[in-house]
Amino acid sequence: MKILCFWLLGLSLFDIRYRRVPVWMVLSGGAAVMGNGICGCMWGERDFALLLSGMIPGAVLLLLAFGTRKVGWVDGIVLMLLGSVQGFTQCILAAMLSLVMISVFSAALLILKRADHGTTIPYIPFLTMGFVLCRLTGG
Amino acid sequence: MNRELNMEKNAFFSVEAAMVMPLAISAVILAVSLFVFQYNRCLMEQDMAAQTLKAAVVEAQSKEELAEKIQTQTAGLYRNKYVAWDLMLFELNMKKGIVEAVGKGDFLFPIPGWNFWNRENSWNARAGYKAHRISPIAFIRNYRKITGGI
Repeated sequence: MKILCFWLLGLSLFDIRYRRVPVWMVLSGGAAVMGNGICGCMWGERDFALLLSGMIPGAVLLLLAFGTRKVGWVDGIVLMLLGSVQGFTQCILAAMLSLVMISVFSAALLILKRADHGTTIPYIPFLTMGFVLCRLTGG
Repeated sequence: MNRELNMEKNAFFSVEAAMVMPLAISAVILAVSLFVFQYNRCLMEQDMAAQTLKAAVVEAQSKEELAEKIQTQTAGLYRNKYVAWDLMLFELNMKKGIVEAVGKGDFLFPIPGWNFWNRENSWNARAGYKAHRISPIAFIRNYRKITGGI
């Protein structure tokens, strides 16, 4: 889990700085997470259906990213990977926490007139916070 | 290959999306939860009614045989059709010729702490049905009432 946190922190740093993340970083994390998940399924430690159901929120975000262009598609992929590790309920909780936080942050920016409706905000730092909060509170 | 790996891809939310998305997703989750809850509640109501009727018409020679048949029927209820539903209570009792089925179920709300209507993170429903067991004497009496004693 610590490795996952470090991976998310690394992605967050890139996201905050550039609003973009390097592909190699996403791919390396993705390969580790998927490898772990598939091995877990093969050894019977994890359920493949649960692994797939955890990816649903991320897949929805990915579809929204392609459909609206208001969201970066890496966010969807990162959420899918997180979901495959955490499971559906925890993933929904982490995503909702992060969305609430980003919405409050956006509202504050709008009130302070530091942003307009087209301004972009990095999402992965909020997702990391949601994930960590979810872990700390035990879901 | 190296060039592709060194590429960077977008990872952001626009302020607009950040404001709209939590509301939209919450609304969708709430709607889906309500539909699933309603589906489970209806199923439970139907099950209780069906079990009551079946127990009311079951044929038996003795009380013991009747109790055994009702117990077998209760145990045979197919529960896998329920979605995210914990059927906490399912009882089928018989007293003085009246069959009563009581069921209680819990729907676990998908987001912890978001259930404003209930302190626990679940919505629950209860269903109960009563029916008179048909006995030959009661049947003949009812028949005579309807036909006027013929």
